[in-house]
Amino acid sequence: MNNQMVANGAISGLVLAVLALSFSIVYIPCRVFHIALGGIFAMTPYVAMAVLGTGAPWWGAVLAALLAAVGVSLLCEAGNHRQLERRAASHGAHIIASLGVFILITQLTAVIWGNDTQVLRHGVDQTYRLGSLVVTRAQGMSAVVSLILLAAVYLWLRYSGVGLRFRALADNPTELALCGYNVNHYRLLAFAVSGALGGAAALLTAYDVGFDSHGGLHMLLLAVVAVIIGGRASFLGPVLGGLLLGILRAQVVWHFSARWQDVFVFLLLAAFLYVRPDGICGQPTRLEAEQH
Amino acid sequence: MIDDRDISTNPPPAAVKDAARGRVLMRARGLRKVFGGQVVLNGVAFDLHEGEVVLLRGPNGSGKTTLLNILTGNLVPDGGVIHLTVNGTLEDFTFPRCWWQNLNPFDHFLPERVAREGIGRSWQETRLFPSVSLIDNVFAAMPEQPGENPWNVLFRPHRVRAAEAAGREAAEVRLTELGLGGRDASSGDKVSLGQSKRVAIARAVQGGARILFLDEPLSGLDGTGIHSVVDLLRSLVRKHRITLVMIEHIWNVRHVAPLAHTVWDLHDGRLSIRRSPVTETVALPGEQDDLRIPDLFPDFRLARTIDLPRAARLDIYRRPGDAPATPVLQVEDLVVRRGRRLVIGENDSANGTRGLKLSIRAGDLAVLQAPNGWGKTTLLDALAGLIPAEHGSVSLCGRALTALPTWERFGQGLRYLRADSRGFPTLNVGESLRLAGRRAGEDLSLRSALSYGQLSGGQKRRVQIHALRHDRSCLFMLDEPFSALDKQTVAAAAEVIKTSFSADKRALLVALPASADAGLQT
Amino acid sequence: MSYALHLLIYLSMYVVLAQSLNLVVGYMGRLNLAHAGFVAVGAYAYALATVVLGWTFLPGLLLAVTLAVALSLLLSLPSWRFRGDFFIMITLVVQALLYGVIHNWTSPGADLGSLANLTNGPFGIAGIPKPAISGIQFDTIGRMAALSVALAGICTALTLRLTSSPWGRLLKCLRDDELALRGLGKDVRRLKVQAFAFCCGLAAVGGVIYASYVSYVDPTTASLDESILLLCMLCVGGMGNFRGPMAGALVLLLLPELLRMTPMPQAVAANVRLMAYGLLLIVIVHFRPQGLAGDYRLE
Repeated sequence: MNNQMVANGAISGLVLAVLALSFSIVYIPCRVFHIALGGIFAMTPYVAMAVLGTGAPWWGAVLAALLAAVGVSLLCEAGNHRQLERRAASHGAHIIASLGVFILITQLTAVIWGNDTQVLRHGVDQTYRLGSLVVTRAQGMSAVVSLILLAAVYLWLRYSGVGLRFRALADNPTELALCGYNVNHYRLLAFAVSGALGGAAALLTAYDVGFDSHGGLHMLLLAVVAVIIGGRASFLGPVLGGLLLGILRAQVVWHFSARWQDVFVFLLLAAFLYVRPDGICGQPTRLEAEQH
Repeated sequence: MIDDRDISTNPPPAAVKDAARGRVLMRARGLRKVFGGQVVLNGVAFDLHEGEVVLLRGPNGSGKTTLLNILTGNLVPDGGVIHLTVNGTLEDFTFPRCWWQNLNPFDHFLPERVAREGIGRSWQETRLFPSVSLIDNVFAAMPEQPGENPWNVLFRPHRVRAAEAAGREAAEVRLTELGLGGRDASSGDKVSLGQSKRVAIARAVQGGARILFLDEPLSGLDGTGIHSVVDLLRSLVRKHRITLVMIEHIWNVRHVAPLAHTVWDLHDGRLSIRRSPVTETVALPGEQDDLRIPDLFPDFRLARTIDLPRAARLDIYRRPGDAPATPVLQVEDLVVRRGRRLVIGENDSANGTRGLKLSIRAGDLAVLQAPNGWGKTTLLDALAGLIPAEHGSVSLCGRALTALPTWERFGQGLRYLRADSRGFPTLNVGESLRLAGRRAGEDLSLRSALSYGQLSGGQKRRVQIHALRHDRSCLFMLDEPFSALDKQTVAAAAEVIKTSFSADKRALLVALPASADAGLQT
Repeated sequence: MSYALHLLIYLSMYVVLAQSLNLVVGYMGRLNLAHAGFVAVGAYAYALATVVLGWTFLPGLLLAVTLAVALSLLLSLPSWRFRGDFFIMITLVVQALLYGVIHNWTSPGADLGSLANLTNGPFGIAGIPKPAISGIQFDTIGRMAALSVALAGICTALTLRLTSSPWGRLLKCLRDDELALRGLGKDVRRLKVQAFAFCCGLAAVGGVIYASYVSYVDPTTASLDESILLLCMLCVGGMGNFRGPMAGALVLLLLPELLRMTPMPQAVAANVRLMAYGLLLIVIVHFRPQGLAGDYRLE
């Protein structure tokens, strides 16, 4: 039975990893704490639900929802962060403005679609047996889609020319500009990819367990904890952190109760902050006294 | 066991015996620091005596500031031992620490711990607290103030008030000593650079420092500023018997040399120590080599010299016989600020600020020589569009650059290699070159799969210079391209530069720190 | 009249909360989104002390403050190591943790206040008695207003004295340049612990005012929306001085009252109020980073 819990945890961890990666993909190159991503996470399933309501096919709804997520994410960069960046505003200014955008998106979602919990599928989900494991269709889909997305992002980063320049942006934006590349375009790209990944994670979660208009920040917080645990300077860290967190949360449910998941997440975070503050993949920073 | 290999055993001359005979305050053995495969410090050892005045020298990038950061607790060394006996009891700090030692947050060699032992420092940028007044800057540094304990603030207000009055008086006296008596209410970012440097030093002394590490205390100062800071240092040494360790750039060494008893030369990660009064500027081996542009480019001759404000100059070298050519870079009335401080341009009482003006023509090898802190990097950054100019115009090959972002300036033919460029640490060599539109491997004996972070400083420089090569380009700007490199690497880097920039339609602007003899000429 | 007194009680509570948050955000320069969590800690501690243990006002207040001060270590210890974005995220995690504990520490059937059911979960604790100090009952709204104004006055005087002392000067220096301050031998870790202790302890006082006035606490007191409201107060009013938080508390007290006068369906009123906060945050950051009356700019 514990194998089952590990499998459940790993699957939810994979979805969490997608969300964590979508956070990192903005944070590492742009140094922007994309809290508005929590709003995008909350909004996307509603868009899908609305489009499904018009009688559109499921792929049309998914496409529309992802486009909406990407569009909102791009707006965050163009309308908010780029303006602040131009005035060399502090990180605090970015984060507060992003928090404002997050509130705006979630409350707008709530005003339009209401505060109640919704579902994207009805009835009992189909289940499959894999050896001793039982996997529902929603879980299987989450696992497969997450793995495909993660693999696609890594292949893109590793082998494509755009991915190379994207990694260069993460390393050293100034040098990239001096190589003649338009940094603003690559920042937009970061927000677009982040919006798409965040939207996908939102749809997968919504399809599996349902959704409401104010769960976004909680998921984003989990994703950020995954980023801190995995290592905030690497694209691999969030995935490891997400998996670890997913499995831990499932174990807490199994051994204690679902209510205490957050407490254990906090304990794990505290342990990491104390013993390995730079995360699993992290390198210690240069100046002992100038850490962030 | 203490290893004395690196300590010079020359007997100190009589004049400095007094100072050198003081008890040992700080002792280091075998200090080691590696940054990304590059060994910066390799077995640094010294004894620092009470009342000693040390001049720490070394070529740019040799790790002087790294050593300072280690000794003041701001950077953890990879290995070695530090003994502290500043306040009487001996304390040992051994590196590297085991992981379980790191779990205890209290006994680290941390800045506040080191400072409480009586070791103070000044920073290259002054780092005054900008939002409190000058007097509070000095005042805040005083140790053991009763008012720093909230309990006293709330329940023993009389004691706090008495201590405040006394402390404020002491801080005022200190500021008056510095000639800043009337300006005590102004905040840290509103006084001149020289004044803020003096306040920063006074702040460290007020904090109870017995050893003071000074990182380029004279950089960026004009004549009067230099004299006031040197006067302050002299009074600290004579009146207060404070032990000083100074980093100073060769340009300014002659000002502080008369104070020094001891010279620490940092070269190739090692310290060699000479105990002798430094009466004249002795050139360091290695420090001069990288400045001999005519040796590196033998077919160029000095064509003309343009004097720039604040003791900087632009030497223009050309190939003899080259026809007079069209201007490549034209800068008119350029004014640049960092924060509120004017860096490029001069204050002119008549009509506000007067900007910088210069022009470089095709085929020119222009060498900008300016003292550290003059603003060379700021100027180049502004030309490349990395920081905005307040006003003025920049044009390249006849096209105005002023409104263009950095990447479009690249499109106009501007290439810029920054002095402190870390490159792209997580990419490999091939990817770095591919990013710059170059093919991996050509002319470079480096495997393209090699990770960039593992390269030595010289190899990184070669990759970076190589990556700059581009067909449609008209001006190359290199900021201190030879700093922190040894002789062979300098030659190799110069070779890459020569082959890259040989076409006659291009111009090259190299910024270098001013050499010592240039400083002596003024 | 009683509407004005009601507003006065809320104003004094907001003033306490804004001034206490200002210690950490405005003077020390650390953004903190866990403030409402500590308000709730204070409110719940007071509620349990009076309802379950039968304590009177002053011991209850003392218990609330002590508990909040002890829990402030949840913020101050991570602040030794983290700053900037990740510290804000840690405050968010602490906020979520406090909310989660308050929301979940319950089990059906167990007595309120027992180890199995400390907070009564989402139903909250009702029937908190009106405060009484040495025989004086604060049972009318006028007396309650007098009590809360007096408490607010004491707390404000306390923060004013602290911030104008050498201790407050150290806080500003820490905000300006932590590394330079450490280089002068100041124990910044102790300073952070003290600052967060005062910040959270005073937040608990605000929570006690709330609990004793409303006579009922539930987990929404600890919700993130409240923390955002408090941070919004500081951003709008300005921070790093005395008058900024005052202005912010006043503006954000009156803003919902003004919104209430517009014709708006009840169902979305709360959402629109929050939207207004979000919009205010964006506008302030972009167009007036120092707030209405602040010293310290977020830039």
